[in-house]
Amino acid sequence: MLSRYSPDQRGVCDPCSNWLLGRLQAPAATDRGMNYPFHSTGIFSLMASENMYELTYIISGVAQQNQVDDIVNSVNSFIRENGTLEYVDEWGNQRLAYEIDKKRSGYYVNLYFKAPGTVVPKLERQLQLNDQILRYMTLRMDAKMIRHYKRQTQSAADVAAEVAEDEA
Amino acid sequence: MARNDQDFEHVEYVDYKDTEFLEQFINNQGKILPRRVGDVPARVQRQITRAIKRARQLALLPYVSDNVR
Repeated sequence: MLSRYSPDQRGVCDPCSNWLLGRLQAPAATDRGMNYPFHSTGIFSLMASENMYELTYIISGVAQQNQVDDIVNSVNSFIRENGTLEYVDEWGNQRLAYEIDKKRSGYYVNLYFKAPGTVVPKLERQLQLNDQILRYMTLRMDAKMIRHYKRQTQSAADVAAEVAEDEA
Repeated sequence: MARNDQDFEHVEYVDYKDTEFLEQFINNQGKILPRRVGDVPARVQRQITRAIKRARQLALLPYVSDNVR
């Protein structure tokens, strides 16, 4: 299928092309651990397939509540258009550990989504252009992070169920 | 200390959002403590370091504490 000399595979070393072959036969997006040769990251894993991402961004603390809602909605709808939004967690206004652009507080939003890698630079560009957004960080989740995330959502669900039981 | 009772061997992922946990591993200036002080496995120390650095970028933890600045 993938010969070493095919033009689209130029520059892929032997172990990497073996790894790529393995990927193509068994594409499991959730199993994206740290055990693949790093040369390959630019070719397939970042751009072609869907990954799970975690994004945290800070909206300036001086923004009005309706501005904050607008930003959150536009980010969410952008992700919904280009992938699937899993979970949005608004932490609300928090004190910053240090001053950013003369501001001491910010509105934190933490969200998880599934999308192809090409979406991330577009999304980050939008975040960068918005003056109200002080910081953002997108992380591609590997298998360990996904397991951690599932465990957390599970325990949160358990707590919620217990509370519901106590009230009943 | 109570921290010695904690089981670090089976820590799989250290979350940058868990600032309460990470604060155990920084001193009052905001510096990351060396492993011989924190007494954690090397694998976990690397994850802690990375998580602290991520938390700093998002202003969850200070680069330099206010009391030193």
